[in-house]
Parts: sequence; structure tokens; C-alpha cells
Amino acid sequence: MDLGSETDQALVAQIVERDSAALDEVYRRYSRSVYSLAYRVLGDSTAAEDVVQEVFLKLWRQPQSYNPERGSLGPWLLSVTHNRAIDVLRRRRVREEYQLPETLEFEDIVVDQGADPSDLASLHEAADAIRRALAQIPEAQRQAIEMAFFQGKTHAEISEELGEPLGTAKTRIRLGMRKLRTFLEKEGVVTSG
Amino acid sequence: MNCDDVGELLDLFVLGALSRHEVEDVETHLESCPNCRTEIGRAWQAGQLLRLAVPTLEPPDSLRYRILAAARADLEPARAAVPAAPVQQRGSWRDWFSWLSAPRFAGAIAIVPLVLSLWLTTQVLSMRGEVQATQQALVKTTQNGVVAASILGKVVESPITSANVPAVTQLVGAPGAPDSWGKLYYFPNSNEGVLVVAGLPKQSDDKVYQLWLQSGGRVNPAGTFYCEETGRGMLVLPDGISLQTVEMLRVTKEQRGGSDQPHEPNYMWGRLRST
Repeated sequence: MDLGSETDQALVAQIVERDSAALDEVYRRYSRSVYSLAYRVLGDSTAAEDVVQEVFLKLWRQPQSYNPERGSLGPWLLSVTHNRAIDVLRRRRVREEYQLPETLEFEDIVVDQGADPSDLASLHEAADAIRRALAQIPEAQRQAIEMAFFQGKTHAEISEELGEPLGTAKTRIRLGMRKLRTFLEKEGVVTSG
Repeated sequence: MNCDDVGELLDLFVLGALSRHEVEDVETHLESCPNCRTEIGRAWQAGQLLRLAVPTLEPPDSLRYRILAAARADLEPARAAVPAAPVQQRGSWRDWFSWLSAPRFAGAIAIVPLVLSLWLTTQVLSMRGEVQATQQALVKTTQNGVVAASILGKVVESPITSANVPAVTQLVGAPGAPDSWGKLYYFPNSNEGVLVVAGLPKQSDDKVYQLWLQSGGRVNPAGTFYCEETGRGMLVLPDGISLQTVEMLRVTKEQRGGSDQPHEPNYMWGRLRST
């Protein structure tokens, strides 16, 4: 049976019925995005692979944790990936700081269910737009945003790491995000409210 | 915290850049302020999109096999739970395991201290189930059966009575045997270990499965084993072998008697976690 033409929702329904071929098709569709995000956050392929495995096996073992009424599958997978990768990153920091042993359990993830980019544009178009938007904001602002989002750092940690006053770090993040939003609104990628 | 205060923090909130205390303050305000909830919805969209702002990378093929094998392995217990037609078998390995279910052993299990965490209990139950499921994997060699029974018995008991907790490494099927899976139970303190596998195709008479320990660029042989018609097999690790520096386990099919180096693609593999 060709699953390539099935909708994401149909594939998830088949996963509920324990059809591993449906999981394979979901993996084919989204593994690049999921792996790329995990690698961007964690910076090493081994940890990124572990996160990707956990994310897809979470869908396989707990398909009910994805609620199609609250968003599309792709953004949900990315949301789970981001949360998990940031969690791994923070645990890694704590572990290194206190020289703790690695823990193996995968705690349940509280998934944020915000706006869904796929309702606004295709994932590829949105990805292209956000990359162009990031390229247009000043380097210092982009750096502060990326440290927060991809490295899981608070504004206080960013301030300390960059050796800048707390207010400066907050302002850079705020200004950068506002420019991003303005650009994305002009592009029609996000709503202007 | 008023709307102006929250407005200053919304972007940091959606990026996860606020302290726990600040997050609580913002959330408290959002509960009672529809205007700020609308604003945060807009900020959230941009935050969601940042997840796409990464260079596109291709995950390795092995990751796909690993995930699919793990998913299919989940189905394995359900299949194993289907009662098989009773088969009268001769041979002593079945006898060796009869003591595993004997009252004295069940008694040992029954004294699990209540203070153990739910996690430990779950692990014990899981391991017991795996041990029982893999009893069928024990091959006819009596000596190996004795050693394996001893090690697997320790696996069941170890979380309760010993600091020598076994490490369990999962192996998954490679393209040559995508439905296969295996588990290596290994005691780091005593360097004892048993590999149990399922779902491997039965080897021809001139072939044997071989386990390899990969560390850095080096690959060392760690014993050979055969699979029954059922696809199950077992290997007791050679005496005193240490897995401390081993990064990866591989299983290949080799000529009968084994090889010095793997000659065929992986049938199964697994990565050891660093601790």
C-alpha cells in the first residue's frame, strides 16, 4: 500500500493501529526537520539522534499525545523536539556542573500548543521566510535570540555570557523579535493581529 | 505586573529566556488579561517559526532502522504472548530454567522492598518478562545454559539485592534483518553478560552469527552463536570481557567458526551509553 499520498492524520490513525509502515512514512516526511533542529540545539549528532528517536517513538508509543485539533503534525513534532532538546541541554549543563551520572529516562514532555505555522504557510515556505528574516536583523540581536531559543539560556545567563548589562540583553532580544515579527507579518507568514 | 510590564517580557517569554519566577508572574497576568493573551499569540507564532530556522541536515540511515526496529520490537511482546502449541522437547536447557519459576525464586522476588521506587519496580518486572520471553532462546549447550541461567537470574535479582546493577543495551535490526532485536544484559562489576536476540533468520549450516565490540576504529570479536528456527539465539560473553570502552555492538553473519574481522554487513547493532 502506498502511504505517500496519505494525510498526516490518516498516518497517525494507522500508527494508533500499530502500523509501523505509517511511522516509517511520517519519519520520511519529517525526520530531516526534526534531526536538523535537534542537532542545532545539541550540537552533536549522537545526542541529536537520541532525541529524534525519542520523538518518533513517543509518537509511536503515545500517539494520543498528539491532538490534531490543536495543530498539524509537523509543528507538533518540532515542538516536542525543541522541548526535549532544550531539556537535554539543560540536564547536560547541570550534570557537568555537579558531575552527575547520565539519566536514561525520557520524562513526559509538556508540549506547547501555540500557533501552528502550517496553518499559515507550508513548512518550507515558513522556513525560508524565517531564515530571511533572521538574516535581516542585526548580528547582536540575532545572537541573543539564538542563545535563548537554541541554547535554552535565560536573559540573565545571556547577559553574563556576553558581558553586557541585563537590560541590554533583554532589549536586544525584544528588538530582534519585534523586527522578526514585522518582517514575517509583511511576508504574510504570521498574522498581524 | 501590569500590561506594560508583560509587554516588555512577552518576547523573552516565548523564547524561554525568563527566569522561573518571571514566567510565573507573566502567566498569572495572562490568566486575567485577554489583550495580553492576544499579543502573546502573535509573539508565539514567530517563536514557533524559529524552529525552522536551522540548516537542513540529513539524518543517518541507521537512525531510521533503529527507530523502526524499536517500534517493531514493541510489537514483539504481544506476539510472544500468544500461547504457542505445546511442544514436547527433550533436552536439559528447559530443566535448567524450571528452577527460575520455582517457589524459592518466586519467594525472592516477593520480598521486593516496598521502599523501592516505581521505576525500579517497573524495571524488575520488565526484566523478568524479558527473561521469561527469552528462555526459549537458550540453545542446547548445557554449559552455556547454566551460565546464562545464572546471569539472567542475577539480572532479575540485582536491583533488589545488589549494587552491581546490570546495564541493558538494546540492539536493533539492520537492513539484513530489520525485524530483529536483541538485548545485552551486562554486569560491569563482574564483566558477566548475556546477549539474547530474536527475529534473526536462521543461519545456513556453514554460517554463524558473530558479536563484535567496536571501540574507536577497532572491532574485536566477542563470540559466535546460532539461531533456532524461531529466530531466537543467545550468547554468553567470554569470561572477563570488559565493555567499559566499547561504543558499539554489532552482529554479523560469518563463516562457521567465526572470523577475525567482520566480513558481512551488520544484521543487528546497538550503541552503549556512556555513563
